[in-house]
Amino acid sequence: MRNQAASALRITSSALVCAGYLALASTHYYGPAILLVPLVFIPLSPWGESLDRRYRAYRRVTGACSLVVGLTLLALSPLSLYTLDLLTAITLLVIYVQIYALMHEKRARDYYYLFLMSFFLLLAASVMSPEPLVGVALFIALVSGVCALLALRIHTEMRDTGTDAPPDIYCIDEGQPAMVPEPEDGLGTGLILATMLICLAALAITTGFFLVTPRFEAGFLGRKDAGPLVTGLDSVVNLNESGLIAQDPTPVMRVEFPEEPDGQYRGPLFWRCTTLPSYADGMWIRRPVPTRIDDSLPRTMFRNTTEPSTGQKTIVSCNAKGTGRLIRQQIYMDDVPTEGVPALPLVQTMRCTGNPKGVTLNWDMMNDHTVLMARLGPRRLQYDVLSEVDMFTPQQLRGAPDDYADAFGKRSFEFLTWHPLDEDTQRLVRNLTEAQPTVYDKVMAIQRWLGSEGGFGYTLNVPELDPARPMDDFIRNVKRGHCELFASAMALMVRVIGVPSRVVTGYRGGEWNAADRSYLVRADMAHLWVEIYFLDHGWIAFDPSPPADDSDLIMSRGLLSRGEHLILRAKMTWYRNVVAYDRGLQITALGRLRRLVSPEPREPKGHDSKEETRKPLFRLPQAPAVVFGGVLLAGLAALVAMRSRSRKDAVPPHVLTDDQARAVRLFRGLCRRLRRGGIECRGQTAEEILTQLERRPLAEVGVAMAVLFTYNRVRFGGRRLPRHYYANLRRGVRRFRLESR
Amino acid sequence: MLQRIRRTRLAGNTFLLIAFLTLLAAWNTGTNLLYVIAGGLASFPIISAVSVGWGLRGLRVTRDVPTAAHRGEPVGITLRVENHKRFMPTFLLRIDSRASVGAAATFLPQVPARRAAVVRMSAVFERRGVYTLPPIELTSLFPFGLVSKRQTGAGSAEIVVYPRVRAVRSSALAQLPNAQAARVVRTGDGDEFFSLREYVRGDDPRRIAWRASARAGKFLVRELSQGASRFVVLVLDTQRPQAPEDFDERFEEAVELTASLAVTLLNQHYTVALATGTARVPEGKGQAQATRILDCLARVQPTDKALPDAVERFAATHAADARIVFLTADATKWGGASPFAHSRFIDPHEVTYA
Repeated sequence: MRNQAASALRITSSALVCAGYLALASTHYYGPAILLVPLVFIPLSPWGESLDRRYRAYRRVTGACSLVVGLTLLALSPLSLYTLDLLTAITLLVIYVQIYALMHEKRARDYYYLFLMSFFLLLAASVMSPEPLVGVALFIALVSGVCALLALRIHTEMRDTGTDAPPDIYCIDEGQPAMVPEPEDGLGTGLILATMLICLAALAITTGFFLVTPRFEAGFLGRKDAGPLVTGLDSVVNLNESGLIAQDPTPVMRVEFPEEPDGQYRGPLFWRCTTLPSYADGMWIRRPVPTRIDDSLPRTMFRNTTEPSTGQKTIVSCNAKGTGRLIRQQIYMDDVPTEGVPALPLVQTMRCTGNPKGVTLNWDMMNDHTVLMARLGPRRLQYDVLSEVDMFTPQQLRGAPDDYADAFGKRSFEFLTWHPLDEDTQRLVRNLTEAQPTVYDKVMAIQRWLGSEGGFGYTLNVPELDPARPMDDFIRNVKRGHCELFASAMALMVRVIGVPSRVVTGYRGGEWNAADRSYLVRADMAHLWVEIYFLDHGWIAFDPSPPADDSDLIMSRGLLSRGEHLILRAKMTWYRNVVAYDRGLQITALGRLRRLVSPEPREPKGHDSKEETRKPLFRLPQAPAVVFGGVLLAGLAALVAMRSRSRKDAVPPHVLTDDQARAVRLFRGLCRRLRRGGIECRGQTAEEILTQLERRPLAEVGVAMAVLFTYNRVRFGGRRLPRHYYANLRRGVRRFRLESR
Repeated sequence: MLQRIRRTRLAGNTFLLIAFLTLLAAWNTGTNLLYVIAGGLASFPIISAVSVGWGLRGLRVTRDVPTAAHRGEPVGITLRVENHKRFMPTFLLRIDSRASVGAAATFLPQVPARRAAVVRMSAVFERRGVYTLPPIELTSLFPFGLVSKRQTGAGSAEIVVYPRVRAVRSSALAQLPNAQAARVVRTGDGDEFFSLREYVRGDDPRRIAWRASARAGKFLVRELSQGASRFVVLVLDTQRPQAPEDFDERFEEAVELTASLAVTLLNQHYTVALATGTARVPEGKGQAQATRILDCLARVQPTDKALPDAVERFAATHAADARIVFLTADATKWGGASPFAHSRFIDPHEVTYA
């Protein structure tokens, strides 16, 4: 039994250790390679324990290794605290401590250290924006933690008390006194069942804790001024920030093109949120342009419309220019940015579908086709968009006039062409563009220079720029940066040649899912590009960012298999309901729970009421819960049945001879008659029944006594029971009547 | 009275502390995964606190301890834990008997519902005397040992530990001090057949009656007699000398010798009486007398007083037909004259054990 406990402890603690590394493997920083650590050291652990037991020198050797590791972390080396961030250094130290514990003999305290280290690895992974695989790691950690702590307790108590063999177990049911112990069951099926129930309870408590614990404003205990940079949208583009930008793979948007062939859109996927026309002090901000822009284009009329069925302002529309193709999109967003609702440019009509309660859509006052959404609670939105996508050819753009002075008001023109670039940079721009005949060619020359010819490179490790003149420093010296720097550089360089420009924030690209016929847009696809004004054509988008060499932003057209589609859905569910769980979701979930418990009464039919009959919203999860519970119960029942069957098979059945079987039948028949006469036979031996019969007159119980004597001799004494004697006794038992007293 | 005590152990407090710190970190950073981890950590002590008491319900513990045992010999103690719950087993039950001599604790991984677990333990008592075994304590550690609940089970029990008894050689009995007025049994010297009795360890093998033994199926010895007395009075001097070096050790040896002599003589159908400085056992025969004498010897303790007059009078009343044997732990008196005439103190070195 002690070996069973030791084996269980070894297996469960190994699973818990692996869970920590699985969590680390779900982060982009470590990746699957970190799994080599448990795969190598867990199988070596028994060998290390054996060496530790046998050789005292083993500890000295491992102690020396510990010293080397400590010096490595402290000293100037690639793995030292000076080069790594604190979290990474501590993680490496924890990994080493765990390996050390694995490779030595372990007592109860050492197992607790192992578990604590695994917990720390889970913590470290949780704060590094892991993939949804971390959910699997957390699940494994919880279940294996339950089993490991239980096994550790059993193993420790057995060792402390010197218990080796299981105790004798006897039945104490009345009427079934047991004189012999029941077969050994080792650690017992009951313990296994109890462990499973405890796992379920732990999962339930963890889930309930997660759902119910109130959320507060982050940083109430204090926060660092410079938080980690992550990909995503912002209302202000600050070019003075530097550092490594972590990619956030959270899905943010799901898009369908219902009117496109096969649901696939062949054009460039730029999901425009808003424009930032004003540049000052190294930042692009959204400031309204002072006066009108370009009388050559027809005036756009922006309208906010109320949805007839709901009475809410969930429709925005404007007149189409008539120069582009109308593309319909159906978009779902979990968290609509406050900067603007993304869609393909330029939005003609946007209508809120799904649950429009509390949603208001409005055109932004700057009249640049930015749509703003207001909503109480979570900023979730499902909407239909009709966009007019311009498809001007290069020839058409080359034909655009270049006399901007009359097309804009003076203040607008100055606003949209202001730049802070110094003389050297301006000279560089003029040298690039002086040979180009048209505005379009000049713009393309600048774009080519930034994209490929100028020796620029894309990176998310944003370098530190000269704070006095950041763009000059980037354009002439640094030449490495992310989309914000490239877009800003192009916009400002274009302004040098007197062409109005602005930057646009939004998303670029999307992952195509053939099974779902939809595109998935992630947070790390947030992008900044440039819009340049061409007379007679309007604002035209250009993207100067070169292809990324250390990012995976670019849209992928690969077809996903059905399994990957399911994984994708699971990922979205994880991100939506766990990683992005906030107060809004909490309030909504509690509201649903309240409605589930006490649904509002339905109004009778024919009643004239404007409100629709409300139905409980949260009905669906019951079905999966029932199915899951049923599957679990069926599994438990099958396990119990298998165990009892194997136990039954293991014990050879006791075979009676024919005479013994007949004697047993006689005995049972007699007992039935005796019970009617008030003689207690259940659980009694033949001798005990005889003792009771001795109080009765012999004439009444003679037959019964003869049967009992015969039963004893035949069943236990190995005597024969001739057939004629058996027939006589059977007749006697059938005629036997005993009056009850 | 049943006493239940719930206690959170160090590991449980550590879990709660780490869960609280993780929750603080989750609140401060707004990272939802930290809430998951904090919830997982908090679930362990919560489950421990809720389920720890269930296992102790419906339990009945009985302890089967022999009323007497011999010093230095293992004593079997049987613990029976009955679970009278209808469906729920009891898990991870630690039983502390705290006998203070061996068999301190045992552990039961599981006691199924409507079942009894029987545990057999062994204890060795190194000193004679009367021991009171404290009540059994049941401690439930289910499931993680983070919270424990303790309950007092079966009440206290008493066990009397007799001195060690070793068979004394027949020849050694012959060397016992001779009382002039008493008749002595000299084994092997007499020509008068006295009886056939069953062989006991220490008897001379030459006196085995082989034919009678073959008929009876067990060894029988001829008991010859010269018409000597088979009545012996053992007197144990419990006085502690003034300079007691190693006195306790020798006192125990004297008590053991007294017990060995008494049991051996009683096994040989002698009539034996015992007198000590503080107690007296009237004459008697058989196993019951042996029990009375051993019980008395288990409790005897050295005193500062000399043998009281009552002992001398007791011995004197039997002088006519009994042989008086004096034993003492005081080495200065060994072989010397006893307070009683025609008798001396036995020198333990003269006695050989089988």
